[in-house]
Amino acid sequence: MIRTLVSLRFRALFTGLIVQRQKKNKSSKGTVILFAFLFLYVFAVVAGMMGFTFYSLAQPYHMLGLDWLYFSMAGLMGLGFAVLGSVFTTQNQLYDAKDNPLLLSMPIPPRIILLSRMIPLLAMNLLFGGLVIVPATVVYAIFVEFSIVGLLLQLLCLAGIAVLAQAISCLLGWLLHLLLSKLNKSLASVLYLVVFLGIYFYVYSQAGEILTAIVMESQQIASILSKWVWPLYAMGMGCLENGGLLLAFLGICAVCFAAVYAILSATFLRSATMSSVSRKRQKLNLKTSKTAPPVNAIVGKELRKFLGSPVYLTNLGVGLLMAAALTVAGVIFREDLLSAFSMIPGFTDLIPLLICAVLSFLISTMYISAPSVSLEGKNIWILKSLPVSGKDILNAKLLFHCRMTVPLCGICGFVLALAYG
Amino acid sequence: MLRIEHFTKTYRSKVAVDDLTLHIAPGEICGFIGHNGAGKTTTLKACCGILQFDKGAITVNGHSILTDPIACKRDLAYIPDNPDLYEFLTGIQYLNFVADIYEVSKTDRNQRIAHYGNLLGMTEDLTLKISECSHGMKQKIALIAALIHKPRLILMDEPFVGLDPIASHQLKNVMAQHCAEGGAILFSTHVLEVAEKLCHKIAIIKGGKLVASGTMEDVRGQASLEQVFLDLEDTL
Repeated sequence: MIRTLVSLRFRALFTGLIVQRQKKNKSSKGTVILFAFLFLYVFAVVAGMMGFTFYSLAQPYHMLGLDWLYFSMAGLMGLGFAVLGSVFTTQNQLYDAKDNPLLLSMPIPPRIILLSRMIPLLAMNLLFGGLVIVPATVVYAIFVEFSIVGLLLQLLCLAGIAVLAQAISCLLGWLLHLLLSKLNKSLASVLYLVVFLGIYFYVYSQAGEILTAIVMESQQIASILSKWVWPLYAMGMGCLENGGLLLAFLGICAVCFAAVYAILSATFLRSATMSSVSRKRQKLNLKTSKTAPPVNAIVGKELRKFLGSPVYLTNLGVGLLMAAALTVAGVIFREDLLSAFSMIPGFTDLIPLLICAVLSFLISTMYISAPSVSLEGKNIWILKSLPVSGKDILNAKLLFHCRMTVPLCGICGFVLALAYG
Repeated sequence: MLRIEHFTKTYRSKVAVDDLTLHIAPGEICGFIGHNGAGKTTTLKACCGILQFDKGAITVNGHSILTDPIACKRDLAYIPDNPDLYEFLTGIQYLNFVADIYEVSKTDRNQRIAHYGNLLGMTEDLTLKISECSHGMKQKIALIAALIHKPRLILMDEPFVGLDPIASHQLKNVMAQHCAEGGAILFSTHVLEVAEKLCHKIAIIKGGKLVASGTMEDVRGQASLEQVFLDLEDTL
């Protein structure tokens, strides 16, 4: 039974990649190969970045005799990467899966349904964790010490990290599900994205200093980890062929997973059937309804769709957020930026060009209208059956795009021109 | 009102509808009956301009759906079998959206929304998001949206699916009233008893071909519609 359910989950995952939903036919072989190549390319780039990061830690830590700390840091980063990358998918797959009612109506214990969903997620955590730990392992093997046993133990630790990340993702996914049942999904997604981007840009901008600090403060970090985060210490030592500590680390990961699984199994039925539907009825007041010309009606509909769709908003609304942030940051950090620009000879004359380039880049990320026709999806019949021409529909979508982007970009350009003119 | 002449629609190599001819005059309710995959939905969608077609002509009040689709659509309304409405809108927002497209005045739309909302027991539920509505509630919203601009021709694909008994009864009254006022209706259904009671005309389609059409008396004769349908399925 579990094998059937797990293979169903994997098939659903891959079918989503190779079948074009709208045309309901298989993508061509070429498209599948292209997607596979793109995935491999992205993985290679991320793994390369991680490898480069760990290269700057491997030899310094080895010279300080803190090889275990090297692997503990890799484990910590792998854990964070896996959890961040999978928490939303975990919440969606465990609690918002469309086939939950169907499977729950069958003679399948809820804990088995839960397990069948967790196994593919485990594979995902293995992949995300592997993107960090495998490069770290390879870098260590090439530049410090190569050992077959060590390699195998390090890969075992990767499995432990994936299991631990799964346990943490499940807990966070459960909390997220509770939160989303109370909050507006789009708002929650945008909030998550803003926080995530904030942290990402901060870490990215401070990456050099952070790496230097990790090397310079290694003794303090080692002391903190070995005292307060003992499982990571055990993992680090386990990667250096300390069998006892490796088993302890794997045991801790297994126990955490088992505990989370037990809690979620006990609450799965209630959580999976918890409705986010509030069905709060308000009194209908027809007097407040307003009329609008057909094109404006479509623009209004586009706005509601944009704000009501987390995926649409977070993918295509980021540019709007960035333009607003640029306007504010450009004014606040004016002096710092001008002094930095003045250090490069002749660069001050290029500031107007730079502003245009940055603004153009941001505008290029705001392609709000581009996917709006395909995003009609199964609702396309509505516009097709209404007495409005294709030209008017496209104009309305374009008008919505302009209304969202032109005022904001205009203000941004004007403010920056004033500040740096 | 609606003239379908030698309508043919092919999906790749499969002929979904083959040389279908059907006329519906003002004041007529025509029931469109056929097995699953016979071509009923394809025909209805082509009539309201959702699907392009290969051969034939479809006209609504003299306007061709291919060359003058906007004029055709002003006079008609379409209700699909599975109403995929805008989930991000509330019921009332959706109705106002449709009313804006049809340029229905504020007074008229409010009056019609109140009337049909009360008739179908949906008034308070119109403030809910469509994503929070059940299938039957969505069906009712789609129905009100179809009636809001007082179309001359209504095309419905299995309209009774998902409706509660009261709403079904009210819908039959609305259909009868619509045709009494000179409108026309073409609807597909699997509920033959409803078709027998409601329809002036019947069209039976099998494998994309029209196998029987005419008034209820001509098609049914002394037998029941169910018997006629089953006999046709067996013989052809």
